[in-house]
Amino acid sequence: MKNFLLLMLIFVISTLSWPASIDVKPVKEIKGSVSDASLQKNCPEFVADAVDMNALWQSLKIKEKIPEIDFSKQIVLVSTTVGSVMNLTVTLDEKGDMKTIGMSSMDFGEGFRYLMQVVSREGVKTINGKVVPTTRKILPVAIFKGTIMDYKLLKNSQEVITKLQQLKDLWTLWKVADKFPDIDFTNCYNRYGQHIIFFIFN
Amino acid sequence: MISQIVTTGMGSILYSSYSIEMNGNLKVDAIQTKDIAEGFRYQIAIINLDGIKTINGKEVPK
Repeated sequence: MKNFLLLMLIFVISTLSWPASIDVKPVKEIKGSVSDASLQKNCPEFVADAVDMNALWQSLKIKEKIPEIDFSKQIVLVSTTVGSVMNLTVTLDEKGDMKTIGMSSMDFGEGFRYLMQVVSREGVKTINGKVVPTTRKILPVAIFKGTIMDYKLLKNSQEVITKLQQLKDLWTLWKVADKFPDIDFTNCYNRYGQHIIFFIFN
Repeated sequence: MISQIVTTGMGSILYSSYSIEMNGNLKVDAIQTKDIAEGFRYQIAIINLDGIKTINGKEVPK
């Protein structure tokens, strides 16, 4: 009887101190293998937006098209292994922490294997204790600032420029003092070198 | 939003920030001082557009 009460006490304490968690099933899985082992370090624990997903895709040089993922509702968990087989168990506790436990075979293959699991974002605040961001700040490649005394010139301005000639025209029109930036607009729509000029004004 | 910046006046100091939202939208926020200075202030920012689908909700021009 004493033992039974002790076991009951342990059970009650454990349920009070450990948040209840549920198993999470992925909506979609993306698996693959990368022969260059040095690229494994580029894999984050998770991807929370389309821009990071694109960066990861480029970094791993994946040839397949990026699958459609609605990052406003989903996140992508990323795990890698040098073994040939990998499995990932995902749980979500009542505090909103998503936990991932990976298991992989002990053998070694060339490069590494990746497993991307698309899961629902609902109720997820952290993943393995790390905050899942909804937005993230980015820094421009370069910024040029100035003042134009002739307010009328504001009329001919555009918010977004994606062509070299448009930027040259603006530079001339506004008589911008800075040296014209060295931007490779030829790659403007190339996925590896896409740049844009964005200007705002008041 | 850009449209708000254009209509708010000609403040002497302008600050802008850029952030990526979950759906690949580039959100541009700007803050300016309330004073009025001659002419207008501008900022030209070069942004890498990889993975960006929209800018302040509008499609990226081609």
